[in-house]
Amino acid sequence: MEKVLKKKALGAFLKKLASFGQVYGPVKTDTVRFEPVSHEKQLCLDEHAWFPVKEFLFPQKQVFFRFDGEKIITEDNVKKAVLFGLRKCDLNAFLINDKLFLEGEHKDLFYEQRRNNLLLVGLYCYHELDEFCFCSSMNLQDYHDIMLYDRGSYYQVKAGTPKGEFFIAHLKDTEAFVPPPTTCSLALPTQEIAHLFEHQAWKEGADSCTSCGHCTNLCPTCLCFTISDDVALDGKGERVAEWDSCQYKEFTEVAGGHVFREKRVDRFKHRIYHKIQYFRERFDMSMCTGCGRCIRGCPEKIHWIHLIGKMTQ
Amino acid sequence: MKKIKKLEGEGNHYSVPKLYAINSIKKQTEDEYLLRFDVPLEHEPAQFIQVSLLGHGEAPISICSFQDEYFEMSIRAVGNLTRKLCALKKGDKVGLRGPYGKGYPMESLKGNNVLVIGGGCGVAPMRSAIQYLERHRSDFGDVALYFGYRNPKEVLFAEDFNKWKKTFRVHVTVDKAPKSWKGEVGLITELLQKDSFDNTNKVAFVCGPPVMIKFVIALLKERGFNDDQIFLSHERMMKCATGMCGHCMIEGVYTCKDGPVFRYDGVKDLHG
Repeated sequence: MEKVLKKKALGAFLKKLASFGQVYGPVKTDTVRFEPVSHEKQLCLDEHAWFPVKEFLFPQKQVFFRFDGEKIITEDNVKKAVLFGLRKCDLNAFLINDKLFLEGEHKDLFYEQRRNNLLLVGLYCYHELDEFCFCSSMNLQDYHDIMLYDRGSYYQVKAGTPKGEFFIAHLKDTEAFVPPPTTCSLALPTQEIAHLFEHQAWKEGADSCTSCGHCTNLCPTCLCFTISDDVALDGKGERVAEWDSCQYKEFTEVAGGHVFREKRVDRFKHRIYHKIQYFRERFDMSMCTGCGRCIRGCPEKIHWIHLIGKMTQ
Repeated sequence: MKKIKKLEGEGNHYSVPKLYAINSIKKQTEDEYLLRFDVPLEHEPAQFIQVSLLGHGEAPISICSFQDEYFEMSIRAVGNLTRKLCALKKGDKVGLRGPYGKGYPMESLKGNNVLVIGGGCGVAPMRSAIQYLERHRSDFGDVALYFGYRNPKEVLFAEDFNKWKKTFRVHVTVDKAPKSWKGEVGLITELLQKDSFDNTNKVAFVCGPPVMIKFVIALLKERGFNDDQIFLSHERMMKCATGMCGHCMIEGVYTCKDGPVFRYDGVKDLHG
């Protein structure tokens, strides 16, 4: 059953959600980012959050375990949280990240704990939020605990899970609503780019690229990481995982100094191929959700969608 | 004897190693040391283990033995961690988790003649397959081993050669050597050229530096080898060993879980 949430009741709804855990939502500071929210007036619901919410699944730096001499200690101190105002692109990122961290031969239990302790509340986009959005060409799925559709004076609300159902049960019932599909003026011409691997145009993108790693940092599904040991002077330490980037030359360096993706163009292509070709071949879904952050945040304004457009013309 | 399926620490997170005492550590060459753990571990030839020292990090090391009661790893002291590992003594503890990845599919290759071609420390994972072949000698045909090293000082597993010569054909060459060296001098491809082998009922195992692999494959192809008769063991940077961290990806393939041993037809067109 779908529900009605009057806009003036949004504050009360946030309070109800807070009974699950701390509510985070898009807040405009220097840019729009997910911050703790206690009042609806803090929310910025008409811009794209600059940073994705992947930190809630896999923090930029996390301790896998601590050690003291031969003693190894693992801790879990996962707190429950509500992510409010997620767009469809970011909701789909959860499905994608799950494939790598939960659904393979091995799984990451810390990821699983964080994942199970999140309540995902989405907000539907009818149109692009800015000129970098291209989700309407990425075959996104419906995925949420709760989804909100702006209907002018109220939000149409529906639950996607029993967990979400619990938080909207008290709202007034209404007729089901089929939203028109999201439209973006930017579109990825094709996800099938295997035949373009040797295309000259890749060089154009790579020539402007500085391998800074902004694109991978801002991507909601880039969760490549490195593992290293941090040790204090007293010998106590921790094994930590930190985000890494395939754009860095050291990413593929082995003992003895050989680097497998030494050329910048190879690293530049690897990210894009992983996002829309390699992952799809294995999991039958694209790893890119069309959020546009890698283009929006690129210091060199490298527009890889236009680049592929040029190659497929 | 009941074998252990997995070395893992407590706490359920895959990254946690279990500490094991080294049962013996032996200097092999100027830079390489052989570590033995008396742990009956179930594994395939050339699977690898994540070896770590708390405070110094972790590295993937291939298993270089195929025995019931123990396993061995040959470690080259080239980085901070491996230098520390090679300086350890019997009884010192190291963190182990694994084994990981896919090894040589020996069972499915029974009945074949086998060509084993290793360069430098690439001989280490090969030794695991060779010990398998020793134990299942009657299941395989002619077995020829070809090893290339940079110089006589770097010849790894020389102490095994005499034993292997009893049942296998063993050929060893070094790139450069002083006059005192009695054996072959030259690249491994030159050594292979001298042998008149063809591809009849044959599989080739290749492990070594990328440039060696490239020329060896070209030569195997010249001799009529099909892509599905060649097995490569790839080396890549690895961190998690579970297909999550992304470092070992070759296109969409994860060296840590899809490899490190690959049949050539599955990886020959991959970039990077």
